[in-house]
Amino acid sequence: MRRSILSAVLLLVFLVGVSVQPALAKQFTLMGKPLNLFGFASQSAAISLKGDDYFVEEGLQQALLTVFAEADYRPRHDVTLYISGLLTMDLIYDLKHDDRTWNEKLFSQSRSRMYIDDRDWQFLKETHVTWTPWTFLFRVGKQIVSWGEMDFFRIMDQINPTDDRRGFSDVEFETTIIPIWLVRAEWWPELNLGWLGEVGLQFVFNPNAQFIPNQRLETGNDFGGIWSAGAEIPSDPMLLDLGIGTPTLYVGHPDLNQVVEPDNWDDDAFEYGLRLSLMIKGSILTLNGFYGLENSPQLLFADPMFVLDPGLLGALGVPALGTASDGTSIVYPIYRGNHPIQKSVGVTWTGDLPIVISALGGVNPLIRLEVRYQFDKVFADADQMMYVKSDYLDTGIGIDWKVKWNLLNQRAYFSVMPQFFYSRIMDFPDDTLLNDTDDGFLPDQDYYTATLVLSTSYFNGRLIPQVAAGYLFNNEASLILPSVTYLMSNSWHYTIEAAFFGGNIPNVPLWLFRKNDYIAFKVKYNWG
Amino acid sequence: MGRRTCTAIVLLSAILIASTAWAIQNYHAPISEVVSYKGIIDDPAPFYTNSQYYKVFIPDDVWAQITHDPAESRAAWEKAVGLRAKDLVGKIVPEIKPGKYTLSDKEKYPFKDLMTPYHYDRFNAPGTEGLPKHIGYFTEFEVIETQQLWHAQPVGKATLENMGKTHLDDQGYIKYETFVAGYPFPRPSGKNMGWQIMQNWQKRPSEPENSANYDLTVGVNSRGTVDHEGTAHFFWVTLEGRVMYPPFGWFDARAQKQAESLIIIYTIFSPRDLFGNVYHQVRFADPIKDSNFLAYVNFLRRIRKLSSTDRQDQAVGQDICFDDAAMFAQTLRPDRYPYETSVLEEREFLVPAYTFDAADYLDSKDGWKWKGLKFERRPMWVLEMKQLDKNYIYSKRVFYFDKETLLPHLHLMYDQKGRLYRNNEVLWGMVEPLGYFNSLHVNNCDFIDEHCTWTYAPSYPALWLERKDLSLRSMMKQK
Repeated sequence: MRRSILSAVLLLVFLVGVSVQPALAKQFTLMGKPLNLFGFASQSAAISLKGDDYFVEEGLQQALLTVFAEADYRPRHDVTLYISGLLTMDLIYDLKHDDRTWNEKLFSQSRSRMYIDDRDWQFLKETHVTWTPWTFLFRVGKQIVSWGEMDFFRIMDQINPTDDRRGFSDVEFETTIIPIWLVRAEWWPELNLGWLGEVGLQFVFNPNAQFIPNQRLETGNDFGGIWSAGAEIPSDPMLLDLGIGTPTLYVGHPDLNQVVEPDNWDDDAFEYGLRLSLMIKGSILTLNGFYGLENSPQLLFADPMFVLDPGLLGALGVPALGTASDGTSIVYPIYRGNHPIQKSVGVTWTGDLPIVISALGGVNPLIRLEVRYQFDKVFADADQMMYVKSDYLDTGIGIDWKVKWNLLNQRAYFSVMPQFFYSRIMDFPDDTLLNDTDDGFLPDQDYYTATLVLSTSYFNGRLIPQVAAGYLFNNEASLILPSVTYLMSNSWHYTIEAAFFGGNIPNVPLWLFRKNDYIAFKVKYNWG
Repeated sequence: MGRRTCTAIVLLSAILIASTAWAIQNYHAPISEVVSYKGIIDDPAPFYTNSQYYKVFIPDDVWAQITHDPAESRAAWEKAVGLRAKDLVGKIVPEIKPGKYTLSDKEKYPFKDLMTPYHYDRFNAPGTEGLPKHIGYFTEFEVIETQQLWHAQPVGKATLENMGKTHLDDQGYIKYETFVAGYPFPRPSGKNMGWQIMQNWQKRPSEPENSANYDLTVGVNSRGTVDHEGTAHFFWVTLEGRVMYPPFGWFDARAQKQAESLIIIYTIFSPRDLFGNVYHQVRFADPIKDSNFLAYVNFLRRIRKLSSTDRQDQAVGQDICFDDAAMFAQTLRPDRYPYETSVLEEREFLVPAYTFDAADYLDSKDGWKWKGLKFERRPMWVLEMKQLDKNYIYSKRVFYFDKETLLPHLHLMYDQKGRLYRNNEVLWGMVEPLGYFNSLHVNNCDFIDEHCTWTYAPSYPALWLERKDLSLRSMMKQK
């Protein structure tokens, strides 16, 4: 299959080479119809800002190469064919192949998961045909359907899985959403009503042609590489009494063999989405409904919970322990679980705030709002031994505001984009706390998160400094991502970015990456 | 194959056939085809001659609907504006006569008295000391006789019929409900003369009324290096006061109910990072009503609402802000960034001539000179718009408007410190058989962060456009 895709790409390149007439540098005609070919290649180098630690590689720790190509062809005015392909490699695995600490810290053992994204669905990013007869739109193929209004955290946007394996690092943002095979139909009737500018009805069907779950951050340097979640758990006193292991254990490579994924085309995994979009007096309101599967499995501990010692101790339930480079013992959890049903309804709204302050540049703020209510969401209990169901409310509000601040920038505006998220586990159990595969340990019923993005530009829009930050109130954890991008030309872009993680409560999101502060340099070449 | 499958196939086939049999077939030419007739830079090909004024892109039956007899149009327009340009020129520096001139003639003839100060500066070799490091300098050109120019016969007719119907308030702002069609003030005069000149542009900033446009840009920095290449096309549909193509008057019931004046849908192909981004704007006849502005953001795969008041920030890599788009796109309203206008001068200038062949070009290999230029004497108004809000990006705007065509040739923008900040210079192309003008070549420059953006902007009537082609659905075709 992989070869056949490669052959198709080579055939496409050959056809382009022999059949098309170059017009601009990157736009062509093929059989008299427009063909656009674009792509980019980027290479980054991330350097750790933390000292020596088991969870971090000193110095250069990631060297991500991304090559992306896309083509758009219109054989008719109402038909568009689109295909894109992606190659992602972390060259650090070659550069540090013989490096002592890289091997001692077990990062080299994560090569099979993190070195090259070589599965078919990773190579073939999107491929779809769009047909727009009359007031309809039909799109069939491997594609992205994006709902929602929020950035960073997805509330309504539940259709496509994401690839988060490389965490918050310098990945190309547009490559983190995983396209899946979908059938999408839309109808945009012309109602000619005075108060209703536009109305559109969208239906999305996922036939589960190929099940692709979220690609998550995982524990274990030998599995998650430098982006392994640095969980630390206390050891069982009995083991310590027996002189086995260390008081604190690291969590290593999880065994996920007992996590059940639906078979391809399994009708139990069909997904359905319906969205009504309304444009009312300049604001956009959408009503959304979704029935499908969670993109992440809900994980429970299997029996046994850990990989057992292969010797006699294993018969006594003693886990097999690895040893980290700093001497700490490592346990290897075994999980079971499945992808629970996800049923939700929700509303999004975006509109103007009628506030115009001339002294701040005269741009009125926009409000983005999302509310999703999920029925019978499946959680795990805190011990991850059983499932607990509860309805779940997930909301977010964001403001987009451009302001002028002449003291710092006389030419360009500042984009100020705060967001606030609130979620509530509606039926929080009295007798246990909860756990979620994506969100981790959930000790509270209500959760609060805030994010902020500030950016501006200098030198004719060529130099773009930006700061993004997030704070998880319940976890008392933070992330700050400053960056500066220089757009030297259409083709060459250079970025310096850094990440700083903070957190006080062990084993919760962001704290898990407390050792991952880094600075990265990236060069990107755009073709087209 | 099941019966349901057969039914579905038959139904889809019927939709497919029916969708291709609709009234006017889409004849939108790919960008690659348009630039095959003339490149963005370095190409002296006479675009209009070679493309037969776009006839190569337009089906014969449509062509027959949109052509107008030049003689009839000329006569109608002369009646509307009540003047002929050639009767109003020739009085200043009459010794500069039609013929070819080079830089060596600059000292021989008093061009300074006949050209705008801007063009007099541009009449220099690139790199001349004391002048900004910009593109578009010229060292040779041909002066031609002043041409009598016109808009299409229906525009002239509507302008004459509706003359006097559009009213301005005491401050000069339009009473939008009084506008009917055509140019509202073909013969500006009186205390609101400056406002009337500008309202002509506000009401008809682009012809034709349904158009397929190509926005092909090259950004050049002060070192003469290309640092930006933009490729986009956009559809533009005038929704009120339509006289050139059916439907006449209001575009449809929705436009009339909501008093929509204009809809633009703008699709970007390059730079690559923006490939698939689509911008959608609906403007309203009432200037107090903010436009609706949306963007389909390619990498988010979402339609995002944009603030319609975000109009002063710089377009990435270019030398304009939203308010400067299409020469001048700011909404004139008394409650937000109001102006005081005055006509500074009313006289003839020697300016780049309206072209009937589009053979001029920018030569990147010879100091980015503008070559193949012709100049003609044009009767003009110099309009100054003083900004009354000190927080606005500009302290004033100065325009050079043609008295015969009512079109602006040059727009100079000054920052709040009074420095010349940006310019917008248009070389107008006359699409003779169709009776409209193209802002075919545009040079936008920044005088403070020295940088220029050259735009090649062909545009032709797009009669296939219907409301469905302009809906939110049409934003999501790309990715």
